[in-house]
Amino acid sequence: MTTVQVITAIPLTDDLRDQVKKTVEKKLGSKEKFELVEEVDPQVLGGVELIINSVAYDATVRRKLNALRSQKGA
Amino acid sequence: MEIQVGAILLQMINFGVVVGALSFLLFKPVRRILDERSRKIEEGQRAAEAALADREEAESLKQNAKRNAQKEVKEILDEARSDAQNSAATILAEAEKEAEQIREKARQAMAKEKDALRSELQTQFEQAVVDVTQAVIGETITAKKHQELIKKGLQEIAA
Repeated sequence: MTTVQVITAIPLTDDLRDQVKKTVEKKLGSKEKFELVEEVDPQVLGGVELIINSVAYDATVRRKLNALRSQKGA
Repeated sequence: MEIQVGAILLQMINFGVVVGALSFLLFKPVRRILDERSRKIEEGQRAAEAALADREEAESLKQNAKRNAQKEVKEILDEARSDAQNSAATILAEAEKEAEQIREKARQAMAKEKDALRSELQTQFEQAVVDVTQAVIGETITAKKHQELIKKGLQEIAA
């Protein structure tokens, strides 16, 4: 069974959890069994980060701010 | 030496008279006494045997009575033990049931308190995250906005 880490700034609601499962099924395939490990980290500021099989899918506000900062820096 | 037949005959008669007298006066009483003694001894022996038999019977009755008494005592003790075990089991079962009810009530109260605390903490936490995020990105952000950001993030990941 694959373990999927879900990092958000606020705890997931049932609705959000269902959407996370659908997204993971799209990534892994509907037959693959997985387990969600939810982590609340205010430092992500917003959005969500999924870590599936050591691959991070980062859609957080922190990453976007960092990306902006990098662009400004560049 | 001359044999005196008359003297011999006289002696024989004399002997016969003595024997007859002895037999009448001494042997018969002595025999009677001996017979009486034998009879008494036999009676005594019979009485002793009867007494022995009575004693053995009494001993047998005593042993039987003792065995019956022991059996009865054992039955009473077994019954008492069984009753005591049943009572102990009943008391234990009732105590366990009562303890389980108390534990269940405590669990329910604790779960209720935990849920209330978790709910309160979640609200406070969400507000804190909102406040921090607002401070960092300089924009008003609500819990709903956070949920929208998460949904948007999921769409980006799925794409």
